[in-house]
Amino acid sequence: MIEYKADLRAALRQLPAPEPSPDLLPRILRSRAMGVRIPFPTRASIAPWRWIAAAAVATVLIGGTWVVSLSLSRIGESRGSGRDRIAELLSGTMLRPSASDEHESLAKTPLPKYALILSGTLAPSRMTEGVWTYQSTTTTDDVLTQPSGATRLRLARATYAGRPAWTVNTARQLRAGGWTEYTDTTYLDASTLRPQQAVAYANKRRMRIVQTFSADSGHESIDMAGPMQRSWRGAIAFPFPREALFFNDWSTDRLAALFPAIPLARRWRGTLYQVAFISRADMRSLAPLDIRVVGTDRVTVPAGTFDCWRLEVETHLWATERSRMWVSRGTGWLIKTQTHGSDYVVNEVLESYEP
Amino acid sequence: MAIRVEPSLDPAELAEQARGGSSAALGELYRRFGPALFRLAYRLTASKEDAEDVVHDVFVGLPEALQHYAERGRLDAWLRRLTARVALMRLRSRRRRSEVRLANDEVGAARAPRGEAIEVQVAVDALPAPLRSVLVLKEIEGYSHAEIGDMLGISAVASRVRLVRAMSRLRRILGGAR
Repeated sequence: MIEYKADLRAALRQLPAPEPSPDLLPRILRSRAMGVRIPFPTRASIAPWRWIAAAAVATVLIGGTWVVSLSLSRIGESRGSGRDRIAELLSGTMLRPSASDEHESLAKTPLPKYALILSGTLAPSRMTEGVWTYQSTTTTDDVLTQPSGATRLRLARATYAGRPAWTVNTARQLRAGGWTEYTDTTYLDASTLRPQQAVAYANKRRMRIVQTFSADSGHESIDMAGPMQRSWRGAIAFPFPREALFFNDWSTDRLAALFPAIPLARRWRGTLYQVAFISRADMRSLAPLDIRVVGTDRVTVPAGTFDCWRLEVETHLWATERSRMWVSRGTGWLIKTQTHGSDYVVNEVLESYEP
Repeated sequence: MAIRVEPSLDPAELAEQARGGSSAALGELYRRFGPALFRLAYRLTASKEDAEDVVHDVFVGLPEALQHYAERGRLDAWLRRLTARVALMRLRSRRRRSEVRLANDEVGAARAPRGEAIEVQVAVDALPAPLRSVLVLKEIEGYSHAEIGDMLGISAVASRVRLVRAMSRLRRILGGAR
């Protein structure tokens, strides 16, 4: 549950947004090439009487365009290309907003940069039970550093559908709030480390998210109670092989649970898939996450000093974002994460580990 | 798309070339600023389609609009204001047409996979456009109330009042703070 009073502003700033379609720039250049020009209102033109005049002109234009478009479309129906040309000319302008059928398909999902990490290459025996706590600070404009919350990851042995499994629980502490409950739980198959089922609750359990995964697909249901009551259902077919590793979180926190089993080494590189939200087929619900070992460092954090692999991690879920991560060479624990934004840097460091 | 310009060109030089009709410069401006402008438009319109149309219109009209760019401030800040204006125009025209966006109920959830983010996004999307505009421009984009008032054609005080209403409504919807 978010402590909304204190953290609503922070939550607003962290809301993700999708990327524009890859064909937007070609559409812009095509419109320019075809002579489309769009004047913007100057400040003087915002006067009310100008608005009325502009509305009248727009009405005439839209009406005229509609009539012309209708006529041409009829001609186009009989002659072929006329309608297409006008549609192309006006496509995306205010006179002809683009159709709502431009849903992003999975075909546009970025391709993996590196070889997929396969379950057979993992070393699940290196995983251990425990609780890892990370403290986060945000530095803005290289000057102001403020605490920005904490994350707690708990890994424990379990069984799922009669088979050995791991449970991964995450809890988050926002800047001014208390710890959330352990209400975000994923069951990982003990040998493949692929998620089997995830259940998350939020906001006093008024929201329930259930994700169930098979070898080649994922299903999701979200039910929200209260004043904003609604539900979503969705399914997705995975574009990656059934042996490939993936994880089901939109943040990279979950990687901390997987790193002990990933065979990091000098110049190692690999890609796994990140599966986020799958109730809507028109938004990107999964994307590759590329990891590359770029060096070694000795890193000191509140939990101690560790000899680490330094990784470059690139995510493509909402927008392409790059982070640096330091993973202990001995234990595989995630020790530190550093993410650069436009004018800020977020550092998350391991504060403690409890067996 | 094989159009490229010298990557070392600074924004002012690119603006100058785009003003002169260079498609390569326009493309480079899009590559540098387009995604951020798209996110701004998306947050204001709560619709990917609308946001793409806004960014399309901004860049299609940009070479002519740059005639009014006096290079007194940073180009990216000027572009953000221009994008916000076009997005707000689109919102106004949508309201005038009384459009009902059926997909809007779900779009927030599509961006946010976990409970807290979904709730915040759905609540933001459920705000009336005048309140959401102020909320986005102030709390996410960081504009002052005076600047927001200028963009929306309202006073700074009205902007402040709308923000208070927006935050209060969000908190009520989310059921967190009393």
